[in-house]
Amino acid sequence: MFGGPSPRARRLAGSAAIYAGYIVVGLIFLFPLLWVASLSLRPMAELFAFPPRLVPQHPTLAAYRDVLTGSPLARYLLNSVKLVSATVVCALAIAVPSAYALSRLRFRRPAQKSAAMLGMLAVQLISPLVTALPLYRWFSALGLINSHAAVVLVYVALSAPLATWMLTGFLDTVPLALDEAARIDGCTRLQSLLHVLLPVMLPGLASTAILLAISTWGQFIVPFVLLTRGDLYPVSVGILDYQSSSDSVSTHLLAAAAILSALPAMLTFLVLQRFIVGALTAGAVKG
Amino acid sequence: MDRRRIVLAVVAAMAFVPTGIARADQYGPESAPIHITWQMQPTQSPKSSVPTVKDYFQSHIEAWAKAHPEIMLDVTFNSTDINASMTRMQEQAAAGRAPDLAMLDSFFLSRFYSFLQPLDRFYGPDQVNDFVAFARNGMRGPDGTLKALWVNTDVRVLYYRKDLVSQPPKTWDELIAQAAELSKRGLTGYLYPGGRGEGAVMEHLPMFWAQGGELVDAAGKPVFGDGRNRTAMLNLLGFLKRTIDTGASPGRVVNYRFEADLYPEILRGNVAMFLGGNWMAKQLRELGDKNDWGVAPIPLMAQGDPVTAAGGWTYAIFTPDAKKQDIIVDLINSLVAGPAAMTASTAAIGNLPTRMSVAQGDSAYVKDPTVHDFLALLRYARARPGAAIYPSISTELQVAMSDVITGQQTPEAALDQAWHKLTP
Amino acid sequence: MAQADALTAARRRPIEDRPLAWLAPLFLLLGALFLYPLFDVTRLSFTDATDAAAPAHYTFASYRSLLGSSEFLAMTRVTGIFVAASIAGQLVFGLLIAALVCEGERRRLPGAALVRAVVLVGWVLPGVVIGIIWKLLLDESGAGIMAYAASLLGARNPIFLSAPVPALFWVTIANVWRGTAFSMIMQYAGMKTVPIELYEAATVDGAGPLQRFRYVTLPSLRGILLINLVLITIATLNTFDMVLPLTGGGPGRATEVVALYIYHLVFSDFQFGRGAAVAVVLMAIGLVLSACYAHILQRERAA
Repeated sequence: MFGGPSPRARRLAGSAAIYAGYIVVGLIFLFPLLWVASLSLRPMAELFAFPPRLVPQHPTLAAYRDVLTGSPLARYLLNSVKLVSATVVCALAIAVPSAYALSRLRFRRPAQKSAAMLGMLAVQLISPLVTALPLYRWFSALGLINSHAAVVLVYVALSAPLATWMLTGFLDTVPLALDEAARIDGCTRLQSLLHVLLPVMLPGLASTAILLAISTWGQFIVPFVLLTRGDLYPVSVGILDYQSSSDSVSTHLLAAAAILSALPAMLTFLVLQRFIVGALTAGAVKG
Repeated sequence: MDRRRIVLAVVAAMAFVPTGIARADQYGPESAPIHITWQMQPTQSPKSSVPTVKDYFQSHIEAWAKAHPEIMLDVTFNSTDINASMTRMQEQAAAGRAPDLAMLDSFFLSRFYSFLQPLDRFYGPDQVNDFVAFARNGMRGPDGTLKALWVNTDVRVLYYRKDLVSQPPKTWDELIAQAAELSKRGLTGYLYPGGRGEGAVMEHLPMFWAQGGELVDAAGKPVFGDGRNRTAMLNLLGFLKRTIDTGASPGRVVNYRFEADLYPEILRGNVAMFLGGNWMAKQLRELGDKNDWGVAPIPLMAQGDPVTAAGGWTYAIFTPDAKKQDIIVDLINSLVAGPAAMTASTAAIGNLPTRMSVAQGDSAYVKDPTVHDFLALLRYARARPGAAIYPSISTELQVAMSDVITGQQTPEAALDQAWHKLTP
Repeated sequence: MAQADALTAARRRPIEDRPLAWLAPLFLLLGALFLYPLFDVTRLSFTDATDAAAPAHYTFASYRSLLGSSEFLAMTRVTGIFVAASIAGQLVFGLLIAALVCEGERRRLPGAALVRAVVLVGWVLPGVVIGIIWKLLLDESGAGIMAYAASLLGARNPIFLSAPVPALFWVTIANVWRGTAFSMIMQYAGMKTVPIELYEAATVDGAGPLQRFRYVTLPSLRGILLINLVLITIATLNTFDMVLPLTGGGPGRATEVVALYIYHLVFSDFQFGRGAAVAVVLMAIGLVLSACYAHILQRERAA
């Protein structure tokens, strides 16, 4: 009792310190978003009020109505959803057989397999910024500028290696006995992959899909380079147009557009957080 | 198991989101035998956020399309980063994929001359001579043919609050003295775009031209770093430095790339004077600004005739198809280029007409006292040089101006850097 | 002979047993959209190409003028500071937050998962949106919240983005804000793999939380820290989508990182050859740094 704080008190103090840390961290990461949300809910007159207030006096959804009905934001959002979903489906379609080969098939030399695995990682070191310029010239010569298919193709190339790498790691944890049993029953490898392994891989597929979706949602350079028509832009590029509208004050519209373009990614993320953390954790530990 | 089903549902839902909804803005039936692709500037289109502009273009294009059911207009839009947008279009034109009709920013027009179709068979000398001189020059390519129609323009001026400034300054010294005094009283004495944007250069070119400075020579080679041009540019950069050093202007002007970036500060009601374009008078009223703004010519180094810079948008035709050209000319005449259309469209936009017959006409818009003042300045207006290198010069000058304003470089060093970059 | 044997052996293998058959789509895709462009960008960097249509000639001029220009030096400096400070910030904050979350989970404190989620929000936003958010936050005109906060602390005309040094500082802060989540989650994953017995043993030996962190957690994280380092180095070197709306590279060229410079070169100035040369240099820097990290990792493992 008299020999310093008890373990219980020390534990409580420790927990209090941790909560203090949580509050600081939470403020740092949430405050910018709150401020933008606050700007997006104001009538024009309150945008420039001094001193600034976090909670608008006369909150209004007018800015949201304006960007959704009077501007192409809804179209940008739709383009993004379209590009992202096509990319995820195509990237998985390519990554699943590749992961199967890397996890299940015997390579003639083990070095080949590790080279392939290393290759998947090595391409992560090449930024689309480097390849964008030749791709632009190439697609331009082929007349594929302003084609969503071309953008998806490049997105798939960017995301398939990572997907393959993650799915290989996931498949490695699935017992071999499972597909061997199927093979004994007379399945071809493709059948055993589709009917036996794929259902088991579902959580891994889901995590991978979410990660790909989030990284594709934020892509800037590829669509910027390969698309010149504003009506084809995904939101990650189109939102730049709200920043400097030369014909009026656009701060509240910009804020509303920023919130709306962030929402889909944030909601997907918050709902499926567990899978994302799981996927990242699995990937990191493998590395 | 439940969770797995949810995830499956989400992934499946994402894959089957409707595709193909994202279509361009179209006027007229998809089945029409003639399709015309048209790239517009959003601020002068049905996409404008200003109601009068939006209504004008929306209703006129729709009416025209209704009267021409055999034609479909497939409209796309420039992005707000004009430089990037124009560069991309140049790239498309070089690859033979430019739209049939496009709105080109007047200062980029010269880069397109070789891709554009001549319009002389539609507009004879009597028509062309109706345009104000700088527009006439820009509209003609180096081979003398008519390459585009410069359908509206704008001028730059000094705005001052009549309740705070009794006598608008005519020279830099007067401007700085008055602005510094106002700033001491807690106001923002003098504001201008000073960042990395075309607005910063454009607003300040009159101060350079008034001293006899030239950016390029007759052959289109940069000369702004030589002889008396250099002196004039150094004077201008020195003036910018003084606006900061004396407290006349806040250092944050370096964040303002375009005139519109000034609005938030102006609307807070703390700004006494600012350098801006004529269109801002109308827009400030529409934004609910209650202050009484006076308009004066841009202050110059020494007293003299006013000088201002004129910009504006042009319509140009890329398609070599003669039939499409006929249709397009009919469209733009009824929308922006014919005398009546120019009167109505400039009034809706708040810009100035380029046809002298319109400027000197008797429409209510040109008779408005403020507009009248702006039109009077048109006589003293110059356009930016038509040289293909101008956009690059502008970029380097933007950097030089920012560097001087932030005190990173002396005017000499900043100018030398820009000069060496362009004349290796 | 041996080769021929191997060949017939391979032929005898049914196609479904051959890895290449399964990997072909991926390899084709990577060949067409990674390797070929990589070759092409290197080739372009030795030309004076302007736009897609104009013919180009081979030349070393891009590299010569690039490496000799003071502008490139200045930009390399800006990029170096931006990348180094971003990496340091992201690693340190990522590690701290991961430790906080882990410790909270170990104590079964409610809210740990929430904090983890909140931090990750910054990571799922598009870069352009993050740039816009920070630009709105750092408005200097008095209506901005940070400017107001600064004025409460006594600064009358606070400077965030309108002077070179503060601008670079805030651009870096915004990038740390964006990237901390990724480092956090990697470190968090690493901490989860540390056997709990190690902590228990350390506690029995009388180690406090800080000592446990120093002597148990950190050594186990070495491998992950290095991989983390490679990934965020490459990402930071190549980022400019956030800088574009935040400062556009200004004031002057104070925040013009190399990636943004490439963007300006190619899409405003039309200098494809020069843009390609800078891109090749940028990629080389990234690869050299990664090789250095890998080398250190090997040595650590050997030690």
